[in-house]
Amino acid sequence: MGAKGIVKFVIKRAIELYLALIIGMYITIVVANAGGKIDEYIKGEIMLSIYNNLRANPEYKDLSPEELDRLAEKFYQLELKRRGLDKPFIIRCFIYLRDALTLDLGRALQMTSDTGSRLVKLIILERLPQTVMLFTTVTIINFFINLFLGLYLARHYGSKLDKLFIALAPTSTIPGWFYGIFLILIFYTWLHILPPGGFVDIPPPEDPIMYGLSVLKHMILPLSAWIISNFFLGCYSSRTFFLIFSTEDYVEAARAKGVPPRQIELRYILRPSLPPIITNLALTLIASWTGAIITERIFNWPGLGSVLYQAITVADVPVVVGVVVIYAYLLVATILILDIIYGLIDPRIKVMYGR
Amino acid sequence: MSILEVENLLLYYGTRKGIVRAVDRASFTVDRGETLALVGESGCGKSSLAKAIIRVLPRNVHTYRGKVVIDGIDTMKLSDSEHRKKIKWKKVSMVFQGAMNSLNPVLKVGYQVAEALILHSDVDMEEALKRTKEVLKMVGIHEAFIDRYPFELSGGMKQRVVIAMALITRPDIVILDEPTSALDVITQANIMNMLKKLKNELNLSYLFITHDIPLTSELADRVAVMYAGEIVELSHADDFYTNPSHPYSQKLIASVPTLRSDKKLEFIPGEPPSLINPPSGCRFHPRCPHAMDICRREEPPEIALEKGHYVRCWLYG
Amino acid sequence: MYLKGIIKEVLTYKSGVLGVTILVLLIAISITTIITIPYDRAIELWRGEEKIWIENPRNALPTWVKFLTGRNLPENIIKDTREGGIGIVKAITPLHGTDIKKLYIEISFDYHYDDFPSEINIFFKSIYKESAPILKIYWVKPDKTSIKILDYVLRYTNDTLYLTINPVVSRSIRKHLESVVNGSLELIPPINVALFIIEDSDSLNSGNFKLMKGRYKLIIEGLLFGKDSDLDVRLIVYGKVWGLAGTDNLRRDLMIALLWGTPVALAFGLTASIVTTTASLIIATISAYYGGIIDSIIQRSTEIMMILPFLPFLIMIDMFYELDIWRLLLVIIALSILGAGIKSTRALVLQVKEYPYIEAAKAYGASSWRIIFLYIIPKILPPVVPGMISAVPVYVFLEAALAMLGLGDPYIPTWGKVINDAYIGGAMYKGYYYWVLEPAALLILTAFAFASLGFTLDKIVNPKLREL
Repeated sequence: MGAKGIVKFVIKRAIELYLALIIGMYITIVVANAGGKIDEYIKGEIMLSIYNNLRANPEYKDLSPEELDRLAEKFYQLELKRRGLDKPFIIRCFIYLRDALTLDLGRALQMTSDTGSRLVKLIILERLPQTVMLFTTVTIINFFINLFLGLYLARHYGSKLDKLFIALAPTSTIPGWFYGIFLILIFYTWLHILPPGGFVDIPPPEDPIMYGLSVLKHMILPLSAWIISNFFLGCYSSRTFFLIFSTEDYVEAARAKGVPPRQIELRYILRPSLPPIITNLALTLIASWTGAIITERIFNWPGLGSVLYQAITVADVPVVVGVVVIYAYLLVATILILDIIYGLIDPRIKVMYGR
Repeated sequence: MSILEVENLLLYYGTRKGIVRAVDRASFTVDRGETLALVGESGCGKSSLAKAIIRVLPRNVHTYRGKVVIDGIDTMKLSDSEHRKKIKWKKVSMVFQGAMNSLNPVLKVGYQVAEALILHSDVDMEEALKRTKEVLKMVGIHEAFIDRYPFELSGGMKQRVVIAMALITRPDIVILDEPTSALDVITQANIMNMLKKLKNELNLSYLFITHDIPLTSELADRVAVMYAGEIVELSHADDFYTNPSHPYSQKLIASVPTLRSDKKLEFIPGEPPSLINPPSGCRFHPRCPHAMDICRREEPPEIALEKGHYVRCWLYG
Repeated sequence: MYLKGIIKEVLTYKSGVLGVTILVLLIAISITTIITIPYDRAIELWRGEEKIWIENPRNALPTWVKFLTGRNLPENIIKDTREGGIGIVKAITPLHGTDIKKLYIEISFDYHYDDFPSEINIFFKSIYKESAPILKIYWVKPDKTSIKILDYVLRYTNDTLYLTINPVVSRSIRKHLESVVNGSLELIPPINVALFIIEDSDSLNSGNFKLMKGRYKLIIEGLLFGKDSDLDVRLIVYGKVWGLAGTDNLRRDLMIALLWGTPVALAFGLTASIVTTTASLIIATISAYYGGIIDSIIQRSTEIMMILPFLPFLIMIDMFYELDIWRLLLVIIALSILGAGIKSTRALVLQVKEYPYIEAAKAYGASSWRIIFLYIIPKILPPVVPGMISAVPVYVFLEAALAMLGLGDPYIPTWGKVINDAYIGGAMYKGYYYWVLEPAALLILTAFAFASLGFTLDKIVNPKLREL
């Protein structure tokens, strides 16, 4: 019954999002190229490969440097025309857009991947799992903390604990990476019990279990930093949220019906409030991806953010653009997944698209 | 034989501004098969009284005591979980004001009605859904709607569903809190007819709460008038409409327009009193045309006029 | 007026009082700073060319740490032959028949601190035409031990001798100490320590160096060439504490960055927040009021903007175009306007649009602009204001975040910049807590002030929340 509706919904959303992605990427490229940086890079790449080809080709071995340059220049102009890069700015950007969408992100100027490749795509993608690992974990942990503590606080509304959370809510304006700095100062600089950053001990343990534990040890501080940052305001918002939902008329009607308190909480407060909670989760996740960048720099966590930081320090243009592209894809994927979950739990969606 | 006996029921709750005396010493009975209409202005405590009877108390309840005897059971003596299992929906059920919002938006309509039955008897879901279809038919809703969600129903349909939900457990008495106030006149008429039919078919007792006096004349056997948290008059319906005793009741009747005669409409001067700081003595005295000295000083007791007719007014004491 | 009433009500809440107090304090600091240290001067100072800060110790703790720890940490000792005074002897004796002069300078100072100095530099100010002065430099400890540390020829008229990093000095000291111990030493103390330790074999061998307190002397004997030649010496024995806030690794007084960071943070945060919120408000209202195509365009554009990853995009722009702080502000505002705020404000406007008094206004012929600005916006402004105030710290931290990535304005001192410098300067490893904690404390204070104020306003403006 609802399945067909959900599929239709997902397809519609996917198309909408992809369209938005395309436009967004185009804007990114236009902005990036407004100062000619992408043109510069692409032209540099073309020249480089032309020279490499010429030098590798035995036919041209005996040419003088000036002749070589003239030949290269000829090939260069041909290549520009072939790729359509002699066309006006707006069209050029479309060509770059096509590359970006197919994840043909070019080769880095200076950076290399762990495997030694210069491909920007590889450099970025091999670091993606670490970022996803850290930040998905944080978001999930925070989600459940907010959920359970929020329900608890709503139940004990007005208690001293409740007032404590309200008073401490401003501590959440401070971002997680900032707490991270403090945590490093305390647990590494002062107490020397936790590492100041990195992914795993150096040298990494051979035994997979020890390796895993080492990674967990390195995750403790960054996770804690974001948990602390989210804690008080997150639980407080959650509690206010549940309170508002628990004053709904149908909750009172359910109580009159004799529905036991447990079930009221689950079916009459939690269930109806899930759709907006999921929307909130989406926004949180999106914010956490971007917060990742600074956190990874501070904790030297080898993820997407670190790649970006490195690229900044060596001014590796294609990598920076590549990171923005990948981030955009990440965001769109996150929104799509959350929309799917939303569609599954909000009956209005099932109905709108199914019947 | 009375199915509901309320004696000196009190419900106060606390707010930032003070203690609200929502229900103050309410006493009345409802016999089996009878409809008692409870009338009064908005904010006089009618809904609070209903919730006090079925024990759905607000978070900030301050005082709750008195006697509520339903079908011979002294409900005040029961614990919350006992009350939940034995009284709620088994002996007494309620149709809330604003049925639109009484239904959980994310649960199917059929499930919500069936849930009432499952909670209070040993049937399984299949059987419960069967009975749900039956009771929906009784209120004029097609059985296909058990798979619908509340937002797919119109206001009138939702009202019927909520009534069905209140009936499926065959309680002895049903409290109806303004069941038709959010509906248009035609739907209102349909619902009233349905209620009458069901009462006769199922031998129900009703406690019908409303601020709409003409509406009650169709259904009520007896009328209780509520003002500022207190019951100020309790009489048979005929007596009430032809010969209201309490000055407030008189004003109420006088303010109702009749269709054809050239009745001069009266209104009640002043404002409804605050339930936090009610006026001294008789709570109606600031607006009463017959107010005497004693009315300002002392609260009038319940004075019996004839069998089954009580007034709280110094004019009769 | 309306505003006074709100301010009074804010002050009835504890959090409101706290927020307002801190805010007033910060504004006072900002104004004072801008007046006492003008913008250009601040940038000049912070650019920190050697000349400006050379007389400060590197990575010095704030002076008040002395009272916290109870240890008498050393402060700068400066002795200048030009200023004369007790303990300074300068004698120039011409050699008869030549234009060579004999120079004798003796600088004494008392050292009673509990810890070694961080650095010792000698600043020469000399006058000569062709040949530079030739010097022999001796160091005399309170127990009369004398060490010849160096033979030196001035390289230019205003030469500086960085004693504590000079390899020749290091060798002289090693030789001297090894002769005291009569053997070789595994652990040679660094120069700043060696010149002040008690030279007994046990402590030298064990590495347990003990400070010798007392009167020290720097003796310079030398030859000046030329009739008019002269030499003045400024000796600085650098301490480990300095000023109210300490110094960074470039010897800069951190107070400047802490003080100037205040108006920058406030201006940045407030401008970003107010402009973004106001612009969002107006756009959302126009979108909801006019509906139709305008609404669709604005909504789609907002969705596209929300898909663009804010920070990476911002980083890309900052990196490619090297923005100064005010252009950065503009870019941040541009990227933030079409955000989530528009969706929620729009929902509010859609509600307000249907209110009877709006219809009434239309009925008596009020123009759309009039309705938008005089009726709708004043109605939706109150629920928006608390969010605006609470958003200020977000922008302040955003600037700090960019600083942590090495981006942002390269010239203006900001708190985030100081933390980044500390990070890169190894504060986390070397334990320079003050370097991180001081700017961090100010950031926290600012965030707390605005957040408290924002929450209080929220409670006042949202009556539903009052009971909750």
